Amino acid sequence: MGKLTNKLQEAVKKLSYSTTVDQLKRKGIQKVNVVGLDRIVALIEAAVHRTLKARMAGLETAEMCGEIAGQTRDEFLRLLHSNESLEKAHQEMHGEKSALEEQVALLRTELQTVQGKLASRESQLAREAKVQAAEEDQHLHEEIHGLLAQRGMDDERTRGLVQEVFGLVRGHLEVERTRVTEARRKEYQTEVELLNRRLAKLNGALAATEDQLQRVMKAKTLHPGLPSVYKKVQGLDSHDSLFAKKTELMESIFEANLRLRREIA
Amino acid sequence: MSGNMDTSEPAGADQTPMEGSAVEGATDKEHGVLYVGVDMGTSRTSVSASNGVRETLASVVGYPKDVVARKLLKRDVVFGDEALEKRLSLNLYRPLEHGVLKSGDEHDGDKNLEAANALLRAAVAMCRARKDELVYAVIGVPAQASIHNKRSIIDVARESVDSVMLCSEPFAVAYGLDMLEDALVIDIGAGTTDLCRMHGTMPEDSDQITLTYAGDFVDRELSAALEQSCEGAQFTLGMVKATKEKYSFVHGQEEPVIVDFPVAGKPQPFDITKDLLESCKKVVPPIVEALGRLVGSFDPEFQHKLRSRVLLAGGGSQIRGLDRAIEDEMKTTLGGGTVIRIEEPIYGGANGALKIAHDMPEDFWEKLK
Ligand SMILES: Nc1ncnc2c1ncn2[C@@H]1O[C@H](COP(=O)(O)OP(=O)(O)O)[C@@H](O)[C@H]1O
Repeated sequence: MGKLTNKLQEAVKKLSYSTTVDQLKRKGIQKVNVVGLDRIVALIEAAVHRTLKARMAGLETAEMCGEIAGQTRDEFLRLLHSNESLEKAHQEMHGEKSALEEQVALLRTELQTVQGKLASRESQLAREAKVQAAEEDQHLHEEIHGLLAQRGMDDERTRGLVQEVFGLVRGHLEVERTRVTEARRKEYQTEVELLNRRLAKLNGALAATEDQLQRVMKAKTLHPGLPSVYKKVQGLDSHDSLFAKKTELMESIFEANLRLRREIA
Repeated sequence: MSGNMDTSEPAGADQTPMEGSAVEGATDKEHGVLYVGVDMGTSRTSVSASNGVRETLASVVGYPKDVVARKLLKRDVVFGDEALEKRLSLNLYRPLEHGVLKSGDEHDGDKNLEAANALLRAAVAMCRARKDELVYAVIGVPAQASIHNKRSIIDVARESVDSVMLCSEPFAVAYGLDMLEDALVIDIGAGTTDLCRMHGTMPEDSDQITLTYAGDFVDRELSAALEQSCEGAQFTLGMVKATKEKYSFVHGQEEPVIVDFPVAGKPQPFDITKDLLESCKKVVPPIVEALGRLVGSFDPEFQHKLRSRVLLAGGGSQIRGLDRAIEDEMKTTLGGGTVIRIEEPIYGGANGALKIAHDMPEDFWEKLK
């Protein structure tokens, strides 16, 4: 069982946890019993042997002993192995998850800076456009006015006409201006959208990894359970010195429970 | 007590040795019977199972107070000592106590039932039963548990085990020690001390007395005494309880008990020896008085036997020298008696329930499935 001993040692190591003297002190522990790893492994081995021996009473062919010992070892190694691979998958998944988280965080900041930059650029452009438009309007107004004045139409009566013409031209101008702004906005909107799509994709990957991680963790906590020492329902041992009394008590406990079930039904 | 008798050599002729087929993981439940003994106390819930598992947790269930708390705790429900630790962000329930300790809504009896469910589920989960084994459980409940509580316990238990029976907790303690006849059990818990007379048949109401002279009572008495004697000391009932659990005694204390309490934020030593002794001692006379009542109303021929087999159990019985103090008091007021301290006060009920489960015949389990 040399290989088993090594494996056991590893397993016990994995089961143990580290603590410091200070931590123990804080818990109010002054003295600890120290048991060496070898000793623990030896104890487990001894226990296995003892159990086997106890169970072998009556069927002590060496062949059978060997078979059962083999099966036990295989089962143990299988459990150990499945635990190891789970552990590994768990670690890998953790690594993957933190890498993804990092990427997502990075992308988020990138998106934020780009969005911030775009927003300030946009507002700057809007401000500039406003000033420019006002200047243009002013200029246009003057030009129309000048044109009419050249033709000697510079009096009270033409003032309304100037306004009318100006309004008409300005309307067309406004449409053109909006188109230009929209085109410009679209240009950086595409940039933002691209970043957003990348972010969504990474977020999806992160969620999937988290899901997987959760599944692995669940599998890890899905303990196969500890087997009972009994294979069958036992009942009172007929050799029990208080057999009669206990039989009576079992009956009355059962009846009390039956009554309780009826009461709450 | 003889510890967990079920994990020692498997007794009984039906014990099948490890068969080749048993090694393969089969899904039908033909590969074992796991017996589980549960002690659902008002303050602690303990389990003891025929696979060697022994666990205990405080009978407290906590639900996060709000979204922030839930995010922080990363869980929808927290149990036992952890719940007590994180009580500031939880609504706490002690489902086996009457009513609700703390909650947002005062009328949520349903929440209390839900907490009882959660607690029992957690207790059964601690047994780590294999999926392919039949699980038969006996649950010891406080003598004063309401029918409402019992129904809830049965309902939940049936979800997680194959068959379940309830029994009175002090009875389970006595059964675990094979003291079925002419014995008296004193089970000192947090809220109550339950006394139970064993005379060979199931104890009836007239065999049981419930007193409120128990752990919480000592905490309150000690707290009041310390408030008088430790001037300026700042402490909570929780601190007093922890101090009691560490130093309590009624006999055999030679060195003074000195503890630190903060005074204006700075820890200062206080000698609490006398207060501790006197507060702990206060439970003795009422307990012995109740013992006297149970003895006095018993068949005179067997009264002497009853007095000589008084079992001391429960977390609150861990006060040092309590067995001796009760004996002394019995000597003066009842003319003598012998008190036997059970070896594992915390697991006495669970171990006894486990033994009952083991001894219960198969057809009874079948009928209650
Ligand atoms: N070492 C100790 N000394 C004195 N009292 C103790 C000690 N440990 C626990 N207790 C007290 O035991 C009580 C709980 O006992 P337990 O049997 O667990 O209660 P219940 O049966 O009500 O669930 C509490 O009041 C607790 O303070």
